[in-house]
Amino acid sequence: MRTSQLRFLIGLGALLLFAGCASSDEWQTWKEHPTHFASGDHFFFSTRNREGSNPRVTRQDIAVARDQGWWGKPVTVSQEAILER
Amino acid sequence: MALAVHTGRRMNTSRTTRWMSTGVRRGLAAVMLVAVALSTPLPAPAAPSDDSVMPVDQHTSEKGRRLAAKYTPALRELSAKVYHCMPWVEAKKNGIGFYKPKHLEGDNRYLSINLYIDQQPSPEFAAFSIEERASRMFSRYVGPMVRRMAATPGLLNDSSLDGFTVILEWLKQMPASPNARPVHETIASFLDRASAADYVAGRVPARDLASRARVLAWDGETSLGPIRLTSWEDDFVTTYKVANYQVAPGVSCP
Repeated sequence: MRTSQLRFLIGLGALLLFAGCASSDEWQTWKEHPTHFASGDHFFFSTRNREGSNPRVTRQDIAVARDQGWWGKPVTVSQEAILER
Repeated sequence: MALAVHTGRRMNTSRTTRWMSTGVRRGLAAVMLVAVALSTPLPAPAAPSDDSVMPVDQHTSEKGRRLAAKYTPALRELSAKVYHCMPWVEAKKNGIGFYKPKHLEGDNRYLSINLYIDQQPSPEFAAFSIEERASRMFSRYVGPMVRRMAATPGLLNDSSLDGFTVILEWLKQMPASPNARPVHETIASFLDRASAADYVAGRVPARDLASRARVLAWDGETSLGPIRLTSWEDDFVTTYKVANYQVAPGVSCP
């Protein structure tokens, strides 16, 4: 029981430690654009691809960007109008 | 005079030290795990979710189910290749399977793939006629997709297979207002098995492929019926690269 409590406290401490790693510039940006990192995925992508580094785009990034950039249900023909199962 | 220290079971300091040491080690391990979890990118899946391949039991005839049961592993490989190697393309849910084209009589089973092409429509592209836009999309994708589908060992010689369908959908133009729904254009190209075999074997050149296919078109939900296209050799699929795109580990693209 004590071991699990200790582990929990250390884990919590680690989370707080990492949460406090944002630079003052980043906090300023966040304050100015509070919804900028509304999506955890966007935040993940942004923090991984820092300015000045070669950005890396994975298939997962593309799928997430596509989902987030979706404009709504398109006007299009359904597959059932073309093919039968 | 030293203070008397009760060294009962619960006051055994060496045990406490070991307990603390173990706890600290475990705590450090937990910290390391959290650090790794926060700093390491999530690995891309080795394959997309399998919902792009229609399950065997959803084919409505014995012929369709037989084909699907035999070739589903190959279709999943095809789906994975499209997912990883053509990241600007999205295979739709249940978009790959042995479907029956609605315009044909009888239980004709065509290996079909239904793709959404994620591209920004340029003013130049929008200025073309539907036939011109469709010809460009046909040349760019239909031949290469037929080659990929026909690469499944044994498929081209399987007498149960009647042909191939490639459905291509793209954004016609940017929505006029933020509240407007986007309108997509769609072409469905049907190629019988003999024509596909001739094309894959090089007996039919790319410039003759459109004339061997039946192509139906839609503007949004409105059917435009059969349209006549021209086609040509286009290596876009093999040469286009998404900037800075990193293929997932373990995946090789041609």
